[in-house]
Amino acid sequence: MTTYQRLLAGPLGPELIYETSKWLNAIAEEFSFSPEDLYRIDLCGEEIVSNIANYSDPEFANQLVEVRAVIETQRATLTFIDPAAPFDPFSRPPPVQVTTLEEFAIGGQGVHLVREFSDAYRYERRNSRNRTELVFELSQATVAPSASDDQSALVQAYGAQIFQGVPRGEIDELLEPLVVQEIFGETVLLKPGDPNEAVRLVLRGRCHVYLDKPGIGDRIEVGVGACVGEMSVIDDRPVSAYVLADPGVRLMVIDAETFLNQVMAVPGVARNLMSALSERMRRSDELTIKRVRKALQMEQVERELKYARSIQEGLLPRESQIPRDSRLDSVGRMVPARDVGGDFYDIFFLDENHIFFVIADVCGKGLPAALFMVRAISVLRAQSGFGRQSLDYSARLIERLNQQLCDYNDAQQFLTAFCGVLDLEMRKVSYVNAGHNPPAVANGRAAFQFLAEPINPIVGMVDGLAYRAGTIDLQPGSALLLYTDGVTEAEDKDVNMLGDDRLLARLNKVPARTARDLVDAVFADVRDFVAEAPQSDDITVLAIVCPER
Amino acid sequence: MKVSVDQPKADISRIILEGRLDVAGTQAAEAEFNAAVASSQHVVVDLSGVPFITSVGIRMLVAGAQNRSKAGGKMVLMGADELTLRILKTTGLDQIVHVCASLDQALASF
Repeated sequence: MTTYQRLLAGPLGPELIYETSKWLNAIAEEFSFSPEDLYRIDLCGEEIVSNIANYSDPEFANQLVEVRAVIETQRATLTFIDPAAPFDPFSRPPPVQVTTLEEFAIGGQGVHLVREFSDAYRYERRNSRNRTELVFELSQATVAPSASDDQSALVQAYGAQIFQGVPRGEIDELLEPLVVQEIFGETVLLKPGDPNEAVRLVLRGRCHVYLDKPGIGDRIEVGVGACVGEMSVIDDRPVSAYVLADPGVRLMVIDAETFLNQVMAVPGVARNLMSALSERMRRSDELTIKRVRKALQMEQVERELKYARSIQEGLLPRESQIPRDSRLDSVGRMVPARDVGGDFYDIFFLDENHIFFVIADVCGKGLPAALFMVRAISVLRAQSGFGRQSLDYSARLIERLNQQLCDYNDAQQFLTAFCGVLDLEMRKVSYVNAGHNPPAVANGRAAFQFLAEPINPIVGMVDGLAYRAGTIDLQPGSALLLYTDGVTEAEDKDVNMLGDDRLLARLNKVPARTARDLVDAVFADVRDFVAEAPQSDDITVLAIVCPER
Repeated sequence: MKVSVDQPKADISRIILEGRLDVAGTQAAEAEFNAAVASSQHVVVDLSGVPFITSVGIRMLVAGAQNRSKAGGKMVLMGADELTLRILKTTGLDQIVHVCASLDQALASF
């Protein structure tokens, strides 16, 4: 008696329910089932498959579910094979018959219908998969289908790499009965650790082998004529990689036993297989070499970044390089978000009574910002010698910096800056704010407040700009705190920002206004605020205090 | 899946279902069906256009009947074909919801 096999395969998910029904209806038409038989089969199919789709743990989503139909003259057998946690649908007792609406048990009706509408049912856990089998004795004899579909699959199989040189008659015999799997959605066919029961020949479409994670990282393509799963069948060990099938892939399934005992025994197949395997090994070797090379390159980049960081740190004035003078107390600190950053500060004497200071924040962060920062600080220092006696020294210096940065700025980078000259004798500050956060000033013993005016444009974007300076007279004991937005825009894990008010409040709580205590307090407050959240921007603080004498 | 409603008698709505009451069909019909059930004291559900039903369809019908019962009304089924009738019987739904062959019988049952 002839038996036919049909196979549905696809990812575990809600569309499985619809695809199963569509497929069962197509089989019924192909083999001329009676309407009653189709009703029973369609009903039981939906009940089993919706159990699998609706009650499986999400961790099994998109993994391969197979439904096999074996059709004999007067019998149809359906086997549902799913990868989810062990579950025997027939382990629950049938629902109790009730007499009132309120008592009617909603649950358990589906499996109850399966019990009543199939002629035999069986559950088994095998090879880490649930197998639910239903048998239907058919009310009328099936009609053998025209073999066109099977024939086309067979013709596709002749072209497979492992069958090169093997006579067609022999291939026909080996593959009887044909098991053809059509994959309706992107499906995880195999995953590491799975037992593998079959070799799959790709007849149409493409599969992909992933070494790390499904859909991520390096992959090897398995196209028409090649096969998947042969390695784990040959060495009888669990699967070692992820194999994903594209939607619409057509596969011919050869079970492990047939493959080992019959297919491998055919002269020529073993040699074909070996050449296929060595080709794949070469490809995977190339992949491995590429990965190792990439890893080495990454290491090299990391080493270079560390080196770049120390160069950048060396560019900023160290504590010992901050000018020492009894009329001045100053501390600066920069902590980049990544290895290198785009913030900087500087402080140096113009003459014995005048000190220049600056804080700046380059747009962006990381390496591009760091390169621009290096350029900006170099230009600034190179230009710092001109016009030292001028009253509006800061404004002219920023104008020259702006001009120079604009001249070679294809990448359209820019920076914000606050700079000024402090006259140590007069305790007078002439300053320029170029689009930067207003610094906090505590004049004499007064509380800290922001130095709001005047604001000028950012530096590096528009050439020929004129910058306007402001002045402020400081009492003895005054403190000036410059910072970048890495402080006020520091984010906690819920993406709240630290904010201006909190910064002022914290500064006003510092008991002795020494430059060190002020800088320490700001960094400690940022640390408390962001807690576990990663640092999102470079953080820089420069404190300038005129001690009481 | 199609849901339509007519009113063969005052206080009695007939909800005509047309299409498969499987997972997809029931999902498509459920909201409209529930609204139709809740909008009339008594309800006749006409299943003559339903060629196929599974447990989710049964569940929807039970919920409708329970809704009417709580409101002091009644829901009856009519027009189910032979196989659908077998399913109603297998689940025991025919024991708790009145199942009739024709609209006249259904109207007479109120």
